[in-house]
This record gives sequence, structure tokens and C-alpha cells, in this order.
Amino acid sequence: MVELTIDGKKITLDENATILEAAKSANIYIPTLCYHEKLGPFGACRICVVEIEPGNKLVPACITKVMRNMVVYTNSEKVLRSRKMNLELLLARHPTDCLTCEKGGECELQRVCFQVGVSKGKGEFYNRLVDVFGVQPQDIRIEDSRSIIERNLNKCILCKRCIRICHEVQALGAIQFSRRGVKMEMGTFWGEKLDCEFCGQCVDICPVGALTNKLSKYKARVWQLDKVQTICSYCSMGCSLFLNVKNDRLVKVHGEVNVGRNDGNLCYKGRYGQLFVSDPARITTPLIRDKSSGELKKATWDEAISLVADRLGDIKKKYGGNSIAGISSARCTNEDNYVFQKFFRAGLGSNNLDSSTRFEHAPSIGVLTKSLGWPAMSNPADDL
Amino acid sequence: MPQTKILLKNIGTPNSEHIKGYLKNGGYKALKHALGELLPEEIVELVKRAGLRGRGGAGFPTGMKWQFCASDPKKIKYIICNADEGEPGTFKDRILLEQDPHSLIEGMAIAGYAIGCTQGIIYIRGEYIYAARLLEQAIEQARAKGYLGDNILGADFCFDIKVFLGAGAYICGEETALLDSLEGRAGRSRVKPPFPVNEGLWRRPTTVNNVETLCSIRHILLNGDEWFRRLGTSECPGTKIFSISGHVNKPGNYELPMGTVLRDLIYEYAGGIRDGNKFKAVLPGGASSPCLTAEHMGVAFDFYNLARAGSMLGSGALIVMDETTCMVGAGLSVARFFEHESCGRCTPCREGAGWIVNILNRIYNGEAKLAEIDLIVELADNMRASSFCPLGMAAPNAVVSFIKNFRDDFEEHIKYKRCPARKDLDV
Ligand SMILES: Cc1cc2nc3c(=O)[nH]c(=O)nc-3n(C[C@H](O)[C@H](O)[C@H](O)COP(=O)(O)O)c2cc1C
Ligand code: SF4
Ligand code: SF4
Ligand code: SF4
Repeated sequence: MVELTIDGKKITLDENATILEAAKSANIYIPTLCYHEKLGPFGACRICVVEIEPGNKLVPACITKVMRNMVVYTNSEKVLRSRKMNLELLLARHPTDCLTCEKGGECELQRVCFQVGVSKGKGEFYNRLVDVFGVQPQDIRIEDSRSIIERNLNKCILCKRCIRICHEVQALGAIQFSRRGVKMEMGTFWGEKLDCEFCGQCVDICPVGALTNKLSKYKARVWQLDKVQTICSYCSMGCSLFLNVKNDRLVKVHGEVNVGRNDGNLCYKGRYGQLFVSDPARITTPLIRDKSSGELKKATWDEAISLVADRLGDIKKKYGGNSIAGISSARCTNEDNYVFQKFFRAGLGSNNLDSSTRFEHAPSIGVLTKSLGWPAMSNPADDL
Repeated sequence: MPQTKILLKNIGTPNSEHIKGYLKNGGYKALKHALGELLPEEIVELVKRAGLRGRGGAGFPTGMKWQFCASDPKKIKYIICNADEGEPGTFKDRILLEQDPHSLIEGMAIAGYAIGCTQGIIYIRGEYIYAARLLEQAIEQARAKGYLGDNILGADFCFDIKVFLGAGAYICGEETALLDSLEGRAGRSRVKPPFPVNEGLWRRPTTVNNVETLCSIRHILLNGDEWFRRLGTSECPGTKIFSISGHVNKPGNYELPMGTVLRDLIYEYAGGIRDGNKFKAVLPGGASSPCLTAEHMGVAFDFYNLARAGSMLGSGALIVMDETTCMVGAGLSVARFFEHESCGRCTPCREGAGWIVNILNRIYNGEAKLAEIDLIVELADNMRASSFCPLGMAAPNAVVSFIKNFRDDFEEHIKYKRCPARKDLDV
């Protein structure tokens, strides 16, 4: 444990902590942009600089470890000068297109500018750049690939969060920075078309509107959305996700750090595969086949359940319970599956039960048992 | 006065690049001495006592670096020779690589023995393809004679060297970016700590040393630390190869004791300023260093004295400018270099280096306003204060020193749309 002082407050905490974590523990806000708790140390945006004694040096709070008797100032003149300038340098090439930007309202650049008190109209340094150059951001370069992810390089602040999550968390490495210096840009190898899993992790972690979901473009402003937490129904992992709902229609889905087993990570199905719920083609009532015409016709749940109950009862009476078999699914909840098998065993008197999992997972169970002696994951999900 | 040729002694002798010539000049004696008579710790101590400082730019005490690396408990370690030689104006490593490669191989083998490495790597800039091929041949020759490979000279010591060609980025000379480049990534500086001596290449303890540093090793082993300390200044012993370029009559590499004064470097050795012109300024340590002017003629060239004079020795590359030099233009070419070479990782350097070029272009063309000169200084202050790595911290040094010392050049471009130094220049 070490003791240090931040803005006059004495703080004692673990020596492996960073200045940023120390400040957080004492409720002192230090703005950040490239930092993300899920990702490894990076320290590039230089927004979180703080002044430390001894030395009166500026250091980035996000990657500098605390030291015994360190004295930290998060708002000294030196700090503010550098923080503002770095923020204004980012703004100088940024379109601040907030009026129609997908990210407007939850954009971290907006939030930090607001907190530090910098805007294109108000920035002391920025104004002089405009004055001097009539700064214009480069031509708008929006990528119109047929992918579901839209990339707007003008808004990119080069924080590398997208690339880092793709490498560090997804272990894919589909995107990288290319070129150097002011010409550096986020993209794919040789500028090829994005060809990846389309998990959308990069979109969720992008602090600004540089990476956005095309499917939800212009559908809602952030503040119009109700965020409903639920569990993904695609597989048995049970990831927590948030349905973003406007006027009872699903607009998009996102995950949140520290929420659920998945810690905010989602796959392409969880993030992009849920929009069917608002699709007009979706089947929302039971359908019963008309005997004479052979067509499926809408029915009420009472009609459907009575029909199934009658037919199952008939079959059981005539041929015995064992003549009925049931197939359940890993996409149902444990409770549903329990009730389902109970109904078969106790209600119908049949042990003929199986699960759709047999077809996809049985071979891997065999291999895993043979090689590892254990038919499932050999590590906790947190270690992934 | 003749030069003090120690490192450059073999240069120009017959077959100096071949092991035959090298052995004739007493080559590999130091390695024999090391393996036969010294313990690894004794060599580290010897280099420490000699007071050798790294010649790559930062001037870190070599013995200390070796000790940090040697004392790390991890087993596999690497010694890497930094032959990226990217600092503008520097061409001293090249002559050593091309004409005395065995000096480097011997130095690396001794370093490997002292630190406890079995693998050495030479990271050489892509443009030095000729030197790289030569090095590979030299390594082959050394292997054939048993100076590299298993059980060198019968001792319980195995060591080999690989040559790795860089792809032409200045930042890859920075040691952690060099390591990333070696590992197959784009070269960008790493977060420190951990330092390379503890977590370097493939996260193993790694010592990175400059070519000139490693070439000095065998002389220290053969002649002793006291001999080395008698050369140069008390704070910075030894000789240094100064690469002198620019507006001098005899540009070239000059090996002289540390502490040689600027006047001697320019007038005694480099033959004075061309065309009998007046001296205007010098970048004493390559494009990363603040300039010195006529009042600094008496400054002794070593790490400490140059720091006290407000500049730095860096790699010891003097870029000399005479009175006909337009300082705005000179600043612009330095600024363009850094704009191009900034790796792009951090905001202050990436954006700052870009804006400085924009502004200098405007000043050069007489389109700027006076206040823009100070805007450069502010951008530079921020780069120094908050850049991620030393590249960004040093990038604006030269430009700011030009503004400080030759502000008139900048103001005349703006006010009168003319260049005081170059009457021919049509602003
Ligand atoms: C931007 C940058 C470029 C550098 N380029 C070189 C180089 O080309 N050659 C070199 O030996 N050292 C270079 N260095 C210094 C290295 O980081 C490192 O300090 C040096 O190789 C250590 O060796 P030494 O202790 O023998 O000097 C550079 C440093 C920086 C920050
Ligand atoms: S990314 Fe943020 S700051 Fe930029 S236009 Fe969008 S909302 Fe505005
Ligand atoms: S696209 Fe977004 S996450 Fe990626 S570097 Fe740019 S701003 Fe950062
Ligand atoms: S200072 Fe920043 S942008 Fe410049 S080279 Fe270093 S890490 Fe890259």
C-alpha cells in the first residue's frame, strides 16, 4: 500500500494502481479519451495528463503508477494548458458534426470538451488556428462499403480503442493503423474491404462517431432511446445485452462493461441479430394448418394449446407415451428446459428426449473428453 | 592535430572488412581475453569503471544497463545492436559497419558473455543493404573460425548473431519501437516501464546498444578502464566519432576525444566554413538538438557540457550552417522530417508536428501573421511537455532554437516578404 496526495486529498491504495485509478477511488475526475478499462495501457491521447511532484512533470494519469508520497495536481495551470491544447488539436481536424452524428449525446469527445470547457468557438488555441488558417477538416470521407459498420475517418481521433479491442479482446486483428504521423488512419490491411466476424466490438468501444452501426443510422437520437437490459437468446452463454428501444421498436443493441458474464462483449448475433423482433415478417401468433386448404392460419394460444393437448392425449392413449419424442433447445432457458422434460417424463410418460445441442456440440464433447478429460470449457469465462 | 583514431583505426587498412584483415590488426584478442580470463561480472564492472556512455543518443551508462539486464533472473536474454542510424546528419555507424564489421561482432559477443545472452541481433536500417550483406558475410567468417557458434574458443559459451533489416522508419531507432518492429509489428514506442532490460524482445530481458558503443568494448577490454578514462572528459570518457556535415570544407567522420570544442571541430578538423563564409549555426546532435551559435565556439562536446549549453550531444552529428542559410527554410526541412517520421500515436507530436510544418510553410512563403511565430513555440512547448516518447519531445528543438536565435529571419519573411540570408530567395 502507498500513500499519495491528489489535489490535496490523501489517498492510500495498492501500489500497482495508476494515478487515474487512485483519482477515481477518491472521486476526482480526470478526463480520458484513449483509455478504456478493458484494454491494456496505451497513454496516447494525452488528455489525462496531470502534474506530479517531485519534478513538476506532466505525466499521463492512465499509465503512470502511483508512488509513495507522490503529489499530484489534476487541474494546475500547466495541466490545463496542455490538456486544452491537446483537445483543441484533436478538434482542429474534427468536423464536430454533432447535429446529426450517431454518437451525439453519448460521445466521449463531446463529454470531455464540455468538462474541460473547450469548443470550437471557445478554444483559445483553436480560435487562433482558425483565425490563421480558416481550418477546414479534410474532405468528408465516409466509407460506403456494404458492411454493417460505417467508418467516418474525419471523426476518428486515433485513440486506437477499436484496434486494441479487436486485437486484445477478440484476438482477431482485422483492423490496424496504417501510415504514420498526421496521415495515420484506422483501417484494414492495404485498405481492403473489412472482412471479419462483424462482432461490432469496435463500434461499441469507439468513443466518437467514427465507427457506427449502419442499421441504426438516423433512426434515433441517443436520448430518445430506452435501454432495456436483457439476456441474449441465441446461445446458452447467456450474455447480457441492452435493447435500445424507441417508440417500442428496437433500434440497436449494445453491451456494457461490468454487466453480465460477457462483461459487455457481444458477438455478431447478439449485437446485430436481434432486429428481427421488430420485423413485420416475424411470426407473432401460433399458426394452425387448415385441413382442407393446407394453409397456415393465425390462431389464438388457447386454440393452439388445446389442439396440441388433444392430439398428444390421443397418441398417448392409442400408442403409449413412449411413442412421443421431444427435442428441446439450448436457446431456451434452464427453467423452460426443466419444465419441458418434466412434462415429457411425468406428464406424457416418455423418456425420449433430446436437445438440438446434440447435433452441434456432441462431436466436440467427445473430442474434449478424450483429449482433456472434461467435456466443456476448461477455463473460467473471465480468463478468456 | 591528428585525430585520436581508436574506433576508426582499422578503417582504410587492407581487407578491414574481412576477418583476415581484422585478425592481422589484432582482432578477437579481446574476446579471447574475456572468455579465457574474465568472469562475466568482471567485464560488467570493467565497463562500469571505464565510464562508457551509450553513443546512440541518450548517453546512458553502458555498464549500468548491462548490469540491470544481467541481474534479471529470467533465463533467455538478448543483446541487440541498434544500427538503425536514423538521426539526420549521422553517418558514423555506417563506416564502422561497412569497414570494420568484426569489431561489432566481437563487441557483441563480449557483451553477450557479460550479460548472459546466447542470441545477438543487429537491427540495421533498410537503406544499409550493402552493410547488411557484408555483416552477414562477416558473421559467416566468424562462425567458420569459431568466434561465433557453440562453445566459442572452447569456453562454456554459445553465442550467435542474426541480421535484421528495418523498413525505413526513424522511430524504429528508438529502442522500444525497434523491439516492436523486430517482433513484426509497426514500430511504435512502448509504454515504459517495463524497461527493455527487464521486458524487451518477446518480453525477455534485452540490452540495446548502439554500433559505436559496442565497437568500443574490445578496446576497453584490451587497454583497461584507466586508459579509457584518460581519454575524453572526466564525466564522459573515451573518444567519439563526430559526423560533421553541412557548409564545411571537409565534411566527414572525425574521431576525437570527448570534450573537443566546437571551434576545433569546425576549423581544425572539418576545414572551416565553405567559401570563406561566416558561421551561422550548428545542430550539434542531429536534427533533434537545439542549435548552437557563434558564441558557443568554446563549448566542449560531451553529453554534460552540451546539456549545460542548452543543447545535446545526441549521436554526435554536427550539421553546420553558414551565413547564407535561411533559418526558416532550414527549420522547415527539419520540421518536415519530423512530420513525416512522427509515428502518429500521441496527439501532441502527431498533430503538433503537422501544424508546425503548416505554419512554417506560410512563414516561408510570406503568408503568415507575426503571431504565428509564437504559435509554433506554444505547439512546441506542448510537444515537449506531453509527448509520449522522446521523438516528440525533441522534434521541435531545432525549430524553436532557430526562432529564438534568428527571429529576424522569421519576421522579415513575414513583414517584408524577403529572406535576410538569401537575397536570391523570392518570397
Ligand atoms: C526517435 C529516436 C531515434 C533513435 N534512433 C537511434 C538510432 O538510429 N541509433 C541508435 O543507436 N540509437 C537511437 N536512439 C537511441 C535508442 O533509443 C537507444 O537509446 C540506444 O540505441 C541505446 O544504445 P546506447 O546506450 O549504446 O546509446 C534513438 C532514440 C530515439 C528517441
Ligand atoms: S464524434 Fe462526437 S464530437 Fe464528433 S461529431 Fe460526433 S458527437 Fe460530435
Ligand atoms: S475509429 Fe474510433 S475507436 Fe478507432 S481509433 Fe478512431 S476514434 Fe478510436
Ligand atoms: S511522441 Fe508520440 S507520435 Fe511522436 S513518435 Fe513518439 S509516440 Fe509517436
